[in-house]
Order: sequence, then structure tokens, then C-alpha cells
Amino acid sequence: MFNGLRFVIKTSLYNFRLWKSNVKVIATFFLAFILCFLLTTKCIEFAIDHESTLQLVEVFIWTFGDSNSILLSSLLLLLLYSDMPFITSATPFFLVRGKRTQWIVGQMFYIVISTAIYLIFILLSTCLLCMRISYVKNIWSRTAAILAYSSEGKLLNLPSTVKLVEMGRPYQTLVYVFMLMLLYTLVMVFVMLLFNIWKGVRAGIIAAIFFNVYGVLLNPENIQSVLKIPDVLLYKVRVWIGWISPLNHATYSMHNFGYDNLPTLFQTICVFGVIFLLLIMVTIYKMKGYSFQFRGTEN
Amino acid sequence: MLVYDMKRAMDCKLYCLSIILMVLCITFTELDTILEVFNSEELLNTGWTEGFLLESLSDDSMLFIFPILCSLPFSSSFIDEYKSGIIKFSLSRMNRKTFLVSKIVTTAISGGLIILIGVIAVSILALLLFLPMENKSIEFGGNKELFSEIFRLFCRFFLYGALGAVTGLWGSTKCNSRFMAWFSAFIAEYMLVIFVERFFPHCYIVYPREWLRPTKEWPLNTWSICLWLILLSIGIGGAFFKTALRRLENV
Repeated sequence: MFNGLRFVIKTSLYNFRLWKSNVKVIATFFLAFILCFLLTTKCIEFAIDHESTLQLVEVFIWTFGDSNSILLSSLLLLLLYSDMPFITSATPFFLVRGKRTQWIVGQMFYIVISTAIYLIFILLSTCLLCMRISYVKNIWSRTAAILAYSSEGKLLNLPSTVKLVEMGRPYQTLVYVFMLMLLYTLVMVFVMLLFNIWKGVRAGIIAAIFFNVYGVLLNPENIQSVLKIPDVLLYKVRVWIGWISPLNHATYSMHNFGYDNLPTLFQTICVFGVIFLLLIMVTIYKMKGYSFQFRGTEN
Repeated sequence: MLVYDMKRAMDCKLYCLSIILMVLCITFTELDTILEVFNSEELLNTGWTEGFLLESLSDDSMLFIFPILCSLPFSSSFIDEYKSGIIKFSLSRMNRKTFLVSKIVTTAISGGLIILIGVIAVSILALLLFLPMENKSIEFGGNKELFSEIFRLFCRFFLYGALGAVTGLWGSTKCNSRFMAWFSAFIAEYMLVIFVERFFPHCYIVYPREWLRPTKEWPLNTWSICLWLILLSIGIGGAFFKTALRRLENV
């Protein structure tokens, strides 16, 4: 048991050693930083225009409380994980010393840790980008109040709804937004890993893109215009989509805070948890029949 | 400059791609304005086309595609030849200095040209479409200040493309990756934008948007931007030279 755990940790740590001078990793993190800049511009410019300040993590909450931003940030991981299941020149030695199931669990462990690192990097980037006009105290800023209690937030398409502001403090909300984002991203990456092992690299990337497109297409406004649903029934569409779209599960404002029948945060965690466990089990099962191809080079 | 470098850099397909991409980009970003012009029954004000051109060519969307576009023709040339091993045959016939200087010059010219050709094509298209719709068309050479402004803008575009392409050449050599040839200019450009917009707004000298659409006071009637871009290209070219020489030590 202990040896198996040590093997799993060693396998995942070896992947982190390959981060040094790795172009894909460098490019992913740089592009993530640029993406953060592009996504946060609207929010920060709004605060500057109103000569107001921001709470340090507020920009992250407003920006990644939106489904499109979650989608864009998770798409960059396709670049980071494009060479899954990370077969390197060291893989044959790992396979000689341990079981292939232990090896794939090690890769999964690496994926979980690296995704968490990537999201922490995004969080720190947004904090860095707005640090000139921000403070650290755990209270909502004047900008948040303007966005929540005026029509300007809606015009800017920022998800600063009144219920978001009233339901918690910034750091508490940050934990929820971060957790939802992490769960969605992990499910997407594990879908990619499963199809990668089952049907090949191309299928893995297509599956991840399809997973994201499914979330984008399940938009209440799109469904309303396609099915010509009257405005009075839009609420029901929103509830249905809140349950069946993974992207809506990852959006903080699309949750039940006592007002409607949308999923609660606990229910979302359960949904993602069940999908996550299923994906892990099927991937381990499919790994038994996986045919390794060693091309003799890491480049 | 080596003849075979020039032949490879002047790939016609890429220049057509540049024209198509720029036309599409301007059409999509300025769609509302274009539709409004075509739906309106009134004639446009004199000078509208020139204003439209200057605005749309230095738009944010252009800032997005320029760095990738300029590194397409030749920025990956060194790393391609180095990795495939062809570089050994080239270096057996010439010295390293000539080879590397040729790479820098060809990359800069091809990067500048791909942007310039696209910009000229877009300008001609806009003039053909919108100039007849103006209230009183200007006579060719009638407005010297305007043509001088357009000429300066074209020079800046060329040098901006050259700088982007040389940055791609250096990035790919430094990271030993073809992928970085296309992305390093884009990354470098946005890092500069972030540096100025978020942290040091007074350092407008390194602000790429300012190079294309100057809003601050630049000496020599904005010709100093061109000199500054040339200086930056030479600096980055020098950095490439040093990095490439180190790579060639084992060849």
C-alpha cells in the first residue's frame, strides 16, 4: 500500500520535473496571464472610470463568475495537456517497476495538482493586475455596490448580482468560485484523458471541445430563441439548464441561494463528484487495454 | 541576404492569407459602420474614408492578429533548419555570421512586408468602395498632410511587422521550439501592453498601441517611432545572433 502510494507520487512528480524549460508550460502560463488581462479589463476600467477601489479578489469573482470566462480559461488547458497521458522516455522504466494502474493514478494525481496550480496562477494574476486600485480587507468594495445596485453591472455583462453580494463575503465567495471552476476544469480534463486513452489523442481533444461546446450551446437565451419559448417560461428553462449544463454548474450565480430551484452548491459538488469518480473508474478500466507507443523521443 | 532565404520568405500564399485575414478582421470589427454607410442614402463627409482607414488599421483587433501574422513567413526558419539538420549543409558553404545576419534581415523584411501588403490591399479596397460615396472626392496629391500621415503609418506598420518577426525568430531560437516562433511576438506584445496599461502608464515609449496610433508627443513628427522600432529590431536581432551562435556551437 505504502509502496504503491510512493510510486504514484513519484510518477506525478516526474511530470513536474519536465516543466523546466517546457515550451508548452511556459506558453500556457503566459497566455493565461494575457487572458486574465483581457478578461479583467472591463471590470478594472469600470472601477477606474468611477474613481473607485476594488477588493483584491473581487475581480476574480466577477470575471470567473461568468461561464464564458470559465470556458476560455479551461480551454487553455488543452494546450497544457495536449500530450496526455504523458508518455516520455522514462515511462517504460516506471512500467517495469509498477503496475499500469498505479502509473495512470500517478498521472491523474499530476493532473489534479497541475490544474490547481494553473487556477491559483489565474487567481494570483487577476490580483496582480488590479493591485494598484485594490485593498485586502474582507468587505465588498464601492465598485461592487455600484455594479450590484445599479443597471450598469447588467450593461457591462458582469455577474455582480445583488444575491451574489448579499450571500457572502469576498473571500468566502472566492472559495466557492474557485472550487466550482476547479471541479469543472477537472471534469473536462478527465473527459479528455478518458477519450485519449480509449480512442487516441485526437479523440481526447475533440471530446474536451465537445464538452465545452455542449455547455455553451445550453444557454437559456439560445434555447428560448430556438424553441420559441415565451418569456414567462424562461425561468423554467433556466432551472432545467442550471441542472443539465456542466458549465452552468460551474457558474456561481447559477446556484440556489434560497430563491429558486437551481442546484445548490452542495448538489453541484455531488454532481461533479459523481461524474469525476465515474471518469476515474472508467479511465482505470480502459487503461488495462491501453497500447503504449514509445517513439523514442520526448520532442 | 541569401537568395535561398529570400525565395523561401516570399511565399505568395502567406501574403494572400494576410490580405484575406486583414479584410475579414476589418469587416467584422467595423461591420456596424460599414452597414450603416451602405444603408444610408446620404453621401459621406469629405475625408471619411481616410479617417476610417486610420481608425480601423490601428484598432485593437489588428493588434491581436499582427504579431501572429508577421511571424508566419520566416520566424521559424532558423529552428526548422537547425532541427532538421539542413543547417550543416548551409554552414559548410558560408560563415556563421553571414548565415545569421541573412536570417535576421530576411525575417525582418518578410515580417514587415506581410503586414504592409495586407494594409495596402485593405487601403485600396476601402478607397475603391468608399471614396465614390464621399460628398467631394479629394484629388490625388491634393492633401499633402494626409498622404504624409498615411506614408508614416505604412512605415510604422512595416517596422512593427519586422520587429514582431525578429522577436519570433529570437523566441523560437531561445526556447528551441517552432511553436514559440508564432507566439513569442504575441506574448511579448501583450506583456508590454499589460506593463504600460496596468503598472506604468507613463512608459508610453514601450506601448505597442502608441507605436501604431500615437497619442503622445513624439519627436520628429512621429518619425522617432520608426527610429525606435528600428533600434528595438536591431537589439532583438543582436540577442538572436548571440543565442543562435550558442546553439551552433554543437553543429
